[in-house]
Amino acid sequence: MRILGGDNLGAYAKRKPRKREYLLAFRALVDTASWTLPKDVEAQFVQVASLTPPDRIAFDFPEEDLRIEMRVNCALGLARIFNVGPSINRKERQR
Amino acid sequence: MSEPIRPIRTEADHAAALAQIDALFAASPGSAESDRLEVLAVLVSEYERTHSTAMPAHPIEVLNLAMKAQGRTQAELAELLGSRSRASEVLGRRRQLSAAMVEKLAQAWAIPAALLSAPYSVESRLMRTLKIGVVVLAIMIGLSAAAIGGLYAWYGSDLPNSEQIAATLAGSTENIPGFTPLRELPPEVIKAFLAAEDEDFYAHGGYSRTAILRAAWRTVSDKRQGGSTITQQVAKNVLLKETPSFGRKIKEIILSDRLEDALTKDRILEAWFNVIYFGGKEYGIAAASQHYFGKTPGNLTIAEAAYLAGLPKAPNVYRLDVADNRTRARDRRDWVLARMAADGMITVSAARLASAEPLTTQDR
Repeated sequence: MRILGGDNLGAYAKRKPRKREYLLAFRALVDTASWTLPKDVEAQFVQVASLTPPDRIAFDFPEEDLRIEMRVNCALGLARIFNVGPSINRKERQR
Repeated sequence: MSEPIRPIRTEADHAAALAQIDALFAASPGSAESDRLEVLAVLVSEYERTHSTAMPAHPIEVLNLAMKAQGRTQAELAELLGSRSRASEVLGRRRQLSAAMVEKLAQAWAIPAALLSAPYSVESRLMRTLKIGVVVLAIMIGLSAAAIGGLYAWYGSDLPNSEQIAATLAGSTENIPGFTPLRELPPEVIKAFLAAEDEDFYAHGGYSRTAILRAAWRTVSDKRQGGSTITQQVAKNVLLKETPSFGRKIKEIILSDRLEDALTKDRILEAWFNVIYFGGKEYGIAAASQHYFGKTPGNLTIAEAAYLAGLPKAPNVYRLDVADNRTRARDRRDWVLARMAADGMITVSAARLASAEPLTTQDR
């Protein structure tokens, strides 16, 4: 997939250096993925991805306190990362 | 008509291009919007590639993330790799992923082999052992410090403090018959005794750690004691009346510490010269000088001073008034003279001259 808005990952890694390796790994997995349908994303990230049709996917990693939100256009092979921040599920767990 | 597509040169261009991409993102394949989106995407990704310093991902972090994303456990990894220890070592970055492992992970879990094949360093067994060694050493040092603190508190609680020690010593040494002030002792006499008994007397804080360790080892191995500094000997002879034991040794060290706080080095040395045992019934330098040579300490020769300095270690072994001891006494005297020369307290020729002197006591 062609990543767009990848600078969001870099900016967050600068603010949270301990998450840098994880973010790099995430980027690498998306970069090498070849999803044909948004559901393919859910299948590859079955434990952490949730799809909001038609094209929004949120990846939530409670243990890493990390959430990455993106849109995918599988026909053109695009992954647009538009938000990186703390996990929502972690906050809910803590409540 | 839509705005023409322009090159992306600045952050503002980048932000504007992303905004256009967001607006076109759901474009139907094959439409004009889709073509425009594709061109913009190429420009944006190229701009981001040249304006970021993306590093390669660590293979084990990729494996971790992929496992988490798919809900895989370490037990499943162990099953795939063939053993628990292998899985544990791989995840702990103590073992490289082999080509066979990468192939298995790619086939079974669809993790791209290219991401798992990147080289990375692993912690060697030696480094790990060293790390564990450092931790164990730190714990042992901590425990030792706590044990020493505990011993100090336990044995030191009923011992006199610095002021009480100063008062006790003033009362018990200055009233000794024949008390000799330090200023009345010739420098060679003082040097001889320091060379024989405690050459670091003016440098240490009352006790010598190495000497204590040596003495502790001797105590454990063959029950002999030793290794006392002059300060410790004063503490032992004036302030402690107990029979030799491990507890007394600890008390001796604590008292030495307090003694050094209470008195000057010269005052401690002066007290020692006046209470030290020289064999027979002789205590103190004045009594010993008189007994063995019929002189006051101020008139002792270097050879005589060296002989007397050798006595406190084992007075009854080196006493000149016992005929059988003469050879040992002479050897001991010569050893003290050699130490004085080696420490630069006297010249080598002065030591040789003194060694050549016969060792005789006054006629009684």
